[in-house]
Amino acid sequence: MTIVVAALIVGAAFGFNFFNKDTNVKNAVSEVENVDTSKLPIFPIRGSFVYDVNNINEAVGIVDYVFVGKVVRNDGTIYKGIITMESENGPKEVGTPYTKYAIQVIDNIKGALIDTIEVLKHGGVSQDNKGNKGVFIFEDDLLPEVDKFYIFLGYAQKDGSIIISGPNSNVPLNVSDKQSNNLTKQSLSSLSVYQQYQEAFENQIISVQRERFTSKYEK
Amino acid sequence: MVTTGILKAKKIWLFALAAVTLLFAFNTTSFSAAYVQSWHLVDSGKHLDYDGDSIYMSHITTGAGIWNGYKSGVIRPDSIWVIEDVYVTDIEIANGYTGVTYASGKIELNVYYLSDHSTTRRTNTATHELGHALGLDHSTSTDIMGPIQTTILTLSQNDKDSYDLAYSKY
Repeated sequence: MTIVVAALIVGAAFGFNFFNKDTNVKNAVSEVENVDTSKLPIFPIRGSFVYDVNNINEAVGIVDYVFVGKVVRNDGTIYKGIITMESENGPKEVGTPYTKYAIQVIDNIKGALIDTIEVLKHGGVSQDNKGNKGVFIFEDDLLPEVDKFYIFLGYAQKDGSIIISGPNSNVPLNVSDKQSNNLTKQSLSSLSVYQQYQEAFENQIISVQRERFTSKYEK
Repeated sequence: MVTTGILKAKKIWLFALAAVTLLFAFNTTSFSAAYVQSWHLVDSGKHLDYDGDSIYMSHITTGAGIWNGYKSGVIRPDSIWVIEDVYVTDIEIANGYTGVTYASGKIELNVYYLSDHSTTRRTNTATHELGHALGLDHSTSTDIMGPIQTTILTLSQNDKDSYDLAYSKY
């Protein structure tokens, strides 16, 4: 009798764990609305890169698009590659956050994008169904803010979307209110950051040979 | 005259010895440093239990062996008796990195780049990401924890010092 009870307990434990460990869901996507990130703790994303992130010529060389854009809208966070992990409080869903933005393209430095596009910024509010939220973002990176201007560095994806990812992948442009109403290639040329990225494009270093894709937002 | 010559030679020899000793001391103490980040994924029992469905799990196992070669038994494959601390999975995205680790407990290995890479480079990435899960930050280009993928598969003094400091915080 004792042996049977023990066998049932062990069997139940194995069964529970079997179901618990096989609940990983791949490539699922879920969305949350735009939330105020200013008071959330930052959890830096860490990675192993294929190029020197501190070399602007390499940073421009590896991406498909470098453009000046104004952030029109923040459409909230989506989570990709959601998995279910074990935790002390039961299963928890863990996805990779991407923040959705609508961007008005002011000027193309590398590549040729149409006037209004949507991009996914790697990073955003973490997915945590236990209520412990934070912001995931790369070191030396920041989430773009609505109505502000940036130089964006973007990768075209196989599905035609554009991902903005990595350190310094959206560099703030200090544009005055007066300038912002009529930004042209000529007025941008007076900004040192813009000049820096123009020069970097002219001297870009393509350190990684890779299959490149075309965005659905190309002219 | 001969005695003075011997004394001079002795002085030069002692000076050279002191200089070499100083050089070695400088090299071994001043050129290594510890780099730790603000978070780690190690549990309260000082273990990092990993699971995953990545096609590169064998590289993760090799990477675990590299770290465990310095501190035995810290990184373990997940079992039915413990709660996993980190889950390794694959992505295929053009984004400039071969692997990434999140404070939420997920490691992503990027098939987009790794599929063309050598076993050594894949193992470097797997070992590097486990290093982040252990709480180590980016260090210099001659370390496994350097920010750019390399072919390095041996822990440097920086890697070891960083691991020591991270371990003291678990």
